[in-house]
Amino acid sequence: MKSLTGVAALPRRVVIEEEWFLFWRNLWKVIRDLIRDRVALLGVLIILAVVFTAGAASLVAPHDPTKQNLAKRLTPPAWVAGGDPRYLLGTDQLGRDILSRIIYGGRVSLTVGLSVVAIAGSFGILIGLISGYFGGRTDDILMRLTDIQTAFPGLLLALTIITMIGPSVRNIIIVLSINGWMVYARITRGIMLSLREMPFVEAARVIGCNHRRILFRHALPNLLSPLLTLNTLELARIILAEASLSFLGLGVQPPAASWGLMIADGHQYITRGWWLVTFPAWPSPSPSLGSTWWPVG
Amino acid sequence: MTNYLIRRLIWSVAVVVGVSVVVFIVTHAIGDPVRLMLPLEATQEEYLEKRHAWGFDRPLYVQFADFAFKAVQGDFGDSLWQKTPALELVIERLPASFLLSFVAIFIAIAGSIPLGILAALRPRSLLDRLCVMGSLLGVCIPVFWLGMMLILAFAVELGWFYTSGYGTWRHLALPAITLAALPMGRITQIVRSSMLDELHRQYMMTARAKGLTEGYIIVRHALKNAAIPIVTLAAWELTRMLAGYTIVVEKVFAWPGFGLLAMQAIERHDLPLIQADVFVVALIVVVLNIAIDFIYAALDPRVRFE
Amino acid sequence: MKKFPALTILTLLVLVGVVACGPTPAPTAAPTKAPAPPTETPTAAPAPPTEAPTATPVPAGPAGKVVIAIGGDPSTLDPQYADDGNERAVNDNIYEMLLFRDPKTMEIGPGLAESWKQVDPTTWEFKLRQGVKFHNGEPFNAEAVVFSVKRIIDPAFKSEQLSFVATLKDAKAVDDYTVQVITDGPDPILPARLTWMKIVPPKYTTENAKDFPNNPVGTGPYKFVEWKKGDHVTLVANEEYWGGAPKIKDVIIRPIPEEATRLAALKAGEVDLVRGLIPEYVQDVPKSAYIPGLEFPWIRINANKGKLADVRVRQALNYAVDKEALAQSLYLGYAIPADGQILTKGHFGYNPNVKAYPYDPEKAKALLKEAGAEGLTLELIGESGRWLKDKELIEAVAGQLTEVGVNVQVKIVEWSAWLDLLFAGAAKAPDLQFSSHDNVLLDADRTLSALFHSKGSQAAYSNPEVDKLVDEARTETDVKKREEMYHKVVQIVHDEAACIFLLNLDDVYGLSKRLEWTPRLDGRILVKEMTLTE
Repeated sequence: MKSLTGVAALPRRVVIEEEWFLFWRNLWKVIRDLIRDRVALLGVLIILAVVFTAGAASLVAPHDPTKQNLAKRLTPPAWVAGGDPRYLLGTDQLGRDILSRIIYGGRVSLTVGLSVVAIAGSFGILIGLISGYFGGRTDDILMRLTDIQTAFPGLLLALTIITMIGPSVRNIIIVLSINGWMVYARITRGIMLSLREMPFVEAARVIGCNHRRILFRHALPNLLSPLLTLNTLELARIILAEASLSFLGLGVQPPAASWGLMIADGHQYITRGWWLVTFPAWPSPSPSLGSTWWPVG
Repeated sequence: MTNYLIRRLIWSVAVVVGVSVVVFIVTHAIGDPVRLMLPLEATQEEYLEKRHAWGFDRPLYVQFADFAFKAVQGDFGDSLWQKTPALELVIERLPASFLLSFVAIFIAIAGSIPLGILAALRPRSLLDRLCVMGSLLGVCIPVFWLGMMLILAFAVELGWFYTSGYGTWRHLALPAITLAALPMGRITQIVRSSMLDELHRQYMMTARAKGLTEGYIIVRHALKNAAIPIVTLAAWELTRMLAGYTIVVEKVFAWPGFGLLAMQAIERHDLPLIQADVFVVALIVVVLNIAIDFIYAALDPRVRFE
Repeated sequence: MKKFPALTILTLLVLVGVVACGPTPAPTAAPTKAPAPPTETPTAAPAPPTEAPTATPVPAGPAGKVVIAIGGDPSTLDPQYADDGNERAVNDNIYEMLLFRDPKTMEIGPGLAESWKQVDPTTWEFKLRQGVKFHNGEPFNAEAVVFSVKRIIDPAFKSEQLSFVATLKDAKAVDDYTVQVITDGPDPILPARLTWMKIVPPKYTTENAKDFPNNPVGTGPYKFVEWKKGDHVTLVANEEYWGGAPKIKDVIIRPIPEEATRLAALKAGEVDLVRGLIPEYVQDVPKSAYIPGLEFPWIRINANKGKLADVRVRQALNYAVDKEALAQSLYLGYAIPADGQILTKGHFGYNPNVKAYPYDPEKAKALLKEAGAEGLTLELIGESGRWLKDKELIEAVAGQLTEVGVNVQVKIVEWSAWLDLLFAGAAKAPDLQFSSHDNVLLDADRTLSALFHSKGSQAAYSNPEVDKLVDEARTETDVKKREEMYHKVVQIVHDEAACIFLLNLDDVYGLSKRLEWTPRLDGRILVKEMTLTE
């Protein structure tokens, strides 16, 4: 990342061809760094593993995730006294296999998390770029809209939208996106406010680049590293936010599972059956962990 | 500057009014609260009677005019559910909410800045990895889980703090730490990534060449230049806390803040209480954001407000 | 007692981040089976006096402090306004009613009224206890009763408790200590209603209308001290209480909304009494107490629609649910299968001859086949977080119905949406809807008229015979005849499988070591019935 931003910070490197060349060189560099850096590689492997497991859930999962067995409810993990080797991570409050539910739940959680980050992120960054770059009246209007959205209670919005269009995974994505873009807008706009006064942006203006070009070719790369970090953070937050919606009956419906919902449903048993809440809490950081190691390279 | 401030104030009023109008429309879109207030066994006649008594059978614009006229005078009406002036109920909860939020954000900032800087100074070192991982844990741990673990360890087993309630610092410690974990993780991440960018810029080289001490360079130059995203995020976290996103912590620790109050108001469709709550939150958001813009200008002289 | 390794897990959390989840032996005990399920009502401790309301002089004055955890902040402390269990937990100790129920038998006995009689079908006369004073010194007399009745039924007051006192029309004072209460038709359960209506002081209530919801003043054994909203309510013993000063001096009632935190607070010794304990935690708390409660989870069937109009299909659904397994596994024995009716032995109108549908999946499949309803798809609407283990119960029942070949689609909806569906009327009712019924008036009328009368607010079943019997029983003043009518209705509703009968839950409480108390069937938490051992 550092080379990318460093490059963009230099006013003389504004020629298109060089940028493309730099893009490929940087990509190669990232891959090379990855291979060298075992920890970063681990990060990528974690992401791939999680995505693969979720994608191939029906092949990987040892049990039917919806199959109940009341007599076996709250069985501890296999290695704990009283555990059952058939249920590696134990069973939940209805005797369903936790490992299988985590694997299947990953589909929902990852779909929701990644979609929301993509939608809310793009929209928020766009608003922030425009707001910070043009300043003045534009900034006022856009930022005040952001304020309205921020002050508006998220739960109330979710309740309203879901009441009107019904609970489903798609609708959770819509609700969380509407609730999630403001932080991107604020961060982007904050950096942009100072960036637009930087010499390289002025230089680009002087040589007659249009606004769009300046924004996306020159300014955006400078924002990459904080925004990538923010993506990671938001991903984790959204996976949990989905849980609270589902818990209230605004989201994923039984017998389906999601990581967040498993935590929400199991939370009453935290002192009796710690595995109910602890294991589903673990995969949710993994995509974030992986993606944080990535920009280090 | 004065002009700018005046303009911002006018905008602020617009924001508060805007939020109130939207909330009014939205809460009416999801239906009247009468059902929620009657016992499960109530009859249809009782429902209609009550609906009439509350005036929910009037046309929407009449209800809105009524609401707006009173709201301008600072009267949001009595909470339907608590039967007490709604604004008073919200204001009663402010001290507890402010105390918790400010202490938490203080802990978060005090912890994250040194951690983020240390991590950025030695990228990919063991220390860096630990910081990254630690801060990610802070981000990813479900707040509920962390809160419960802290209660069980430090209140039930060790008895150092109280499990729940409001009063002394021994009541405050666990909820504040729980609430701080997430912002601390997030801010550490942003400090680290912004500092990484700054530390590789040319002026750092120049500064070092001038023979300035490393500590001075880091704090006075790099940190100051990296400050904008950090300030934005920290302020954002504070805004969200004050806007009532402390619900889970309040619930786990039985803390009498207004997040839980707002949630209950929403669940019960308690219109006056929702309105009063949103009004107060909008004021807080507006004030904080004006403050942030002035902090931007103070940190970076290039940021101008015309 | 290191049952729960909190520190171990906290360490584990840090470790797992570094090492892949290794086979760390966490010394957690498996959730062990419940103690033998309760077979009958636990006999009360010998200590409490038998005649509850009569004075029991206590030698020493009140002493000690008890802390009670409840699920949320009271919505108000106006005793006549809200229908709110948290409000009741506080006000049951401050205010009193004309009539009380015996803590063990639940029989109606004297309270603020010493005796009562029915003068004519719509008029009841009460002789009031003399010399009782409100906490502010105001005398309790006929005027207070008349005022309280008029206040609660005033439409402008918008009381949420109106349905409990629905038949009250007026009250008038005969003399200082004699009151007549008038109903708008014969009402055999008026005494039951009056065990519900709290008496407020007329002068204070009028003069402090604004402040009254925050500063309650009653005649009860405890006086209000302060209410720090969202944190606690403090009460202190009323040493001049007409029934003798209570034994415990200070009472603190704390709203702790999170179940796990209430439990932690009990274990840490910060609270003495926790209501609604999850059965899994019974062995974790210092002491526990339970009593068969009034809560009946049930599933409403829309019996007017499609295949569900066929009685065989409805019966099949009842045969398909293994109530015994749900009670034993899900509630660890702290629940019993409902006796094929939504009433307990304590309810007037309970029919002892009606029994639960046995668990018989084969019969269920056969009935479905007979009715041509194999592969039937049904929508089951539920909610989450309102009642003990509600979502789990819904999912478990759905699982059992699926086993016999019914394709059940569960839909958990948000509370207000759930309410809308419950009250949408029979035409719009979903196929199946989970609900829970809690009849605190202890008379079958409330249950049967709301759930199974075709005009009932929650009804999705109609049967002219049931309608007729319920209507007639409502005004029948001959107790024996009335009871027979209800027995008949209960029998019909059972045979017709008008709903899926599920369970009757126990109320489980967690107590600190030092607290002695026997829970009540009606769920009231009365501190005057408690003692501290240290």
